[in-house]
Amino acid sequence: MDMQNNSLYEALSGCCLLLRLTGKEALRLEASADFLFPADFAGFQGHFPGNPILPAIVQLAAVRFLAERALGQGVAPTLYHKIKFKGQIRAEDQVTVNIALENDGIKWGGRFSLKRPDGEAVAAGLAEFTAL
Amino acid sequence: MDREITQATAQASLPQQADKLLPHKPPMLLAETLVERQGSRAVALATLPTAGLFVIAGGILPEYFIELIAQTAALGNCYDAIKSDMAPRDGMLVGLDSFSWPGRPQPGTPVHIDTDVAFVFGAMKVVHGEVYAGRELLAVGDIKVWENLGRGAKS
Repeated sequence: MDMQNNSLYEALSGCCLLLRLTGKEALRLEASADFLFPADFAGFQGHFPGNPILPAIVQLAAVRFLAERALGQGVAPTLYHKIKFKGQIRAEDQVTVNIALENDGIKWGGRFSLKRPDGEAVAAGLAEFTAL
Repeated sequence: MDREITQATAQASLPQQADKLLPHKPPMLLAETLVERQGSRAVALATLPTAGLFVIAGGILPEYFIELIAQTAALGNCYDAIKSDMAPRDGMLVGLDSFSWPGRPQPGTPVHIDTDVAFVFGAMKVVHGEVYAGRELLAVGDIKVWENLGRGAKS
């Protein structure tokens, strides 16, 4: 599989082990997903040679990926806010992405986090998405 | 001594190709050329991709622009380092104060990325960045980057 010709976003689908919809109402959404990033994941290419680290932007793409899958529709971020990247994700690392979003009638917004299986926070912040 | 200074100056002339300064390699090397460096301000050029990792359904992944701004800020730092005959410092993106996308990016469009340091606290910097296609503001945000202040002297 030539992953370089695929979108990074599409490649995330192959890294998602399990998705949990823990709360879904008309204006509220809670969900989580487990991701495992293999060494040949497209996001490690060129970042960096000999020292592969998952780019922070791929962590954000994973948050959006989860929001889309949980909502069952495409979304675009309108704002990322107060985000901290606290740890590095390397090849074969597993992380759980969590989102808790509310809809104000115009957009979905709320908190997200990425945590390791032992609960260590890798990233956290606020995001807003509009439906495509 | 004069020859060393001349070499350092020649290496530090603008424009500078990004692949000569950054540790990133394709397909994660997004910025192409550093064209301006004045004080803490850095301006780079790039072309929005038409295929590959950052293109989906005919559009550009929004997160692409965050990395573009981070790489432009890093280019400025690397440029300063070679100008001072120092090794570039390690650094990484550690946060976003805010980031938004006012414009409608089109694949294949040439863009310029304008960054400036808004705030410094020890090893942490807040960098304001804007990405333009012509006069259209495509993306804007304040990112937080960390620099390894313990590394930089050429051994």
